[in-house]
Amino acid sequence: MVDIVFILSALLCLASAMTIVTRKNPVYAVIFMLPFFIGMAILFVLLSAPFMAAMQMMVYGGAILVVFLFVIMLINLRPEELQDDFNFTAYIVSALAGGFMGGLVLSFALKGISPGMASAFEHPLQAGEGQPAFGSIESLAQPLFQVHLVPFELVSILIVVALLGAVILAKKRV
Amino acid sequence: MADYLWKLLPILLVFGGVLGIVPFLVFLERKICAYIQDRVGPNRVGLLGPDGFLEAVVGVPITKKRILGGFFQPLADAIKLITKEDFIPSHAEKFLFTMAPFFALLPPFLAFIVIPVGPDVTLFGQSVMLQVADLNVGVLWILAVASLSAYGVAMGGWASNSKYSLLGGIRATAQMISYEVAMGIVLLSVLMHYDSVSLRDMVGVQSAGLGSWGLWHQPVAFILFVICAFAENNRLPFDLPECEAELVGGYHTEYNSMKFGMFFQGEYIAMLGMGALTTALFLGGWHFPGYAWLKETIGAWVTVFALAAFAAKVMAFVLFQMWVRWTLPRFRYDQLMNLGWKGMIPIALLNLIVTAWINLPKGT
Amino acid sequence: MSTSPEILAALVFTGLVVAMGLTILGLVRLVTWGLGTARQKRGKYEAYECGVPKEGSARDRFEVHFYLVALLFVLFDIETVFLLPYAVSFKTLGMAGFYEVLAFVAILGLGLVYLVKRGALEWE
Repeated sequence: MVDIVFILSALLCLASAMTIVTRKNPVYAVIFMLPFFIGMAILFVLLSAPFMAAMQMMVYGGAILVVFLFVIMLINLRPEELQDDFNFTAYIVSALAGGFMGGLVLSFALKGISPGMASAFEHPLQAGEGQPAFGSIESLAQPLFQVHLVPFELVSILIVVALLGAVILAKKRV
Repeated sequence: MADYLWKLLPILLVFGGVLGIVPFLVFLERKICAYIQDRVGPNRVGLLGPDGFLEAVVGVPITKKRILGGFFQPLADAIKLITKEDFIPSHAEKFLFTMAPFFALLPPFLAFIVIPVGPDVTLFGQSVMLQVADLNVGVLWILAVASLSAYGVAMGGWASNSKYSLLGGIRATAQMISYEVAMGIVLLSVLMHYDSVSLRDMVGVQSAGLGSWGLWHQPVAFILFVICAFAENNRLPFDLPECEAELVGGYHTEYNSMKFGMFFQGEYIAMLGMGALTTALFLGGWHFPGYAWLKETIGAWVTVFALAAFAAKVMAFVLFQMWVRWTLPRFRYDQLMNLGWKGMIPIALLNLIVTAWINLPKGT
Repeated sequence: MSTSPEILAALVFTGLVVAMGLTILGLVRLVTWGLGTARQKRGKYEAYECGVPKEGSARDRFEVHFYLVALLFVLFDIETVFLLPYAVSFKTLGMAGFYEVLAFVAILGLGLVYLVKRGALEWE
C-alpha cells in the first residue's frame, strides 16, 4: 500500500515539475507548483514527518506561492511578450531529468520502498520513555526553545528586517 | 482488515452528508433572504411536483397551498445548470479556466477530514470513530487546507481574462491571506487551551459538560474566529471579491453552467465547513447537555442524538451566516484590510500571550 | 495517533472528492458538447463589460499593495509556524519559554507598529 502511495505521489511531483519547466506562461508554471508541493507533502507524511508536511503546505503551498503569483501578475507579461521561440533545450533537459527521476521511481517500484520507510508507515516510531515521538511537533519544542534559543530570537529580528525590506520595496515614497 | 473497512463508514457519512445538504442550503438561503426582505421566495416547485402538475394528473384542484413550496428548487436549479451550454469565452485561458472551479471546491471539502462528527460508537463489537481521520497534525490540516482555498479564486479570476474577474480574484486572494494570519494565531491559542492539536481531543475535553465548551474559555478567540470565518468564505459583510455594485460577479463573472455551479457549491461547502469547525472548536462538537445521562439511559443509541446535535449546531452557525449576510451592509476594502491587519492580528497575538499566561502552571 | 488507517482514510476521502470534481467537470463537458447545440452570437464569447464592447486588455498591472500584503503574509505565516511548537508544548517549557516567546512576539509587535506608523497598511 505504501508503495502505491509513494509511486503515485512521486509521479505527481515529477509530472508537475516537468510541466513547470516547460510552460511558457509563468502563471501556469506557478500554478503547477501546487500539485508539486502537494506531492512533496505526501512524501513527507510517508517519511513520518507530518509536521513537515503541514508546513510544506502552509508556507510553500499557501504563502510563498501566492507571492510568486502576485509578482508574476504584477510584472504582467503581455501575451505578445510571451511568444518567445520554441525552447528546445528546456524540453531536452526536462526529459533527461524526468527520465532519470522516473528511473529512480521505477527502481523503487521494482525493488520495493526501503524497508525503513515502509515500517515507519505501518508502525510510526514509538516514543521512548518521556521522549516525544520522532517527527512530531513536540519533538521540535525542546531544541527550538531550550537548545537553540538565540537563533530563535534572532529569527524574529530577521522577520522584522524582512518586513522593513518589503515595505521599502513596495513604498518608495512616504 | 476490519478496521480498514470500518473506516469507510465515517468517510461515506461525511462525504454523503456534505453533498446531500449543500443543495438544500441554497434553497434555505434563498428562502431566508426572501423572508428577511419580506418576500415569499421560491415557492413554485413543491414537494408534490411543479405548480399544477398534481391538478393535471388528478383532475381536481387539491389545495391552494403547495406543500413545502419551492423545496425542489435546488433540483430544478441543478437540472438547469447541468443542461446549460458549457462554453468557454474565447479570450480565457482554457485549462486554468476549467480547473479553477475544481480548486474552489476541493479545499473546503477536504477540511472535513479532521472534523469529528460524533462520539466513538461500537458497532458489532468494533469501535468506530465518527471522524474521517484523526491525523496527528490535527488543526494544522485545517490551516494547510485553508491556505489552498485562495487558488481557486485567484485562478478563476486570472484565467477569465476579464477586468472584473481579475480584480475580484486579486481582492479575494489578498483578503483571504490577510485573515488567514489571524486565523492561524487564533487556532494557536485554541490549541493551547485544549493542550492538544487533535480536534478529537478538543471535543473530548468539551464533552465533560456545558461549562467546558470552548466558547466560555476562549471568548476572544471565538469572536475572532467567527470574523475570520466570514472573511475566509467571502461572505457579506466581507464579500468584496464579488460585490455586485462594483464588480458584477467578481471572480466568477465569466463562468456559466456547471462550472459556476461548482463555485457555488464550493461556497456553501465552505460555509458548512466553517460551521463544523466552529462547532468542534468552540461549541462542544457533538456534545449536548444531558449527554451523559442519556447515554446511561439508552446506551449506544445516544450516538444518533449526538450526530443530530452536531448537525443542529452546524446548521445554526450556517443560518447565522445567512442572517448576517442579508442584514449587514458591505465593508469598504480599506476598512476590511485595516480590520485584518490592525485589529485582528494584534488582538489575536495578545490573546495568545494571555492564554499562555493563564494556562501556565504557576511556580515553574 | 497516526497509524496507517488514518492516513489511508484521509487519502481515500481526498480521492473521492477529486474524483467527484473531475467527474462533474468531464460529464458536463461531454453532455453539453455531445447533446447540446451551440448558438453563435456576436459578443457571446467576449468578456463581459456590462454590454458595451470590450475596451483594452484585462492583463493590466495592479497595485503594488497587493504584493506587499502577500509578502507580509509570508512573514506572519512563518511567525505562526515558529509559535506552533511553543503552543503545542508550552506547559513543559514553563515560565522560561513564556518569556522567550514574549520577547519574540514583542519584536514582531514592534515590526507591526512600524508598519502601521509608516503607513504601509493604508489603502488609498
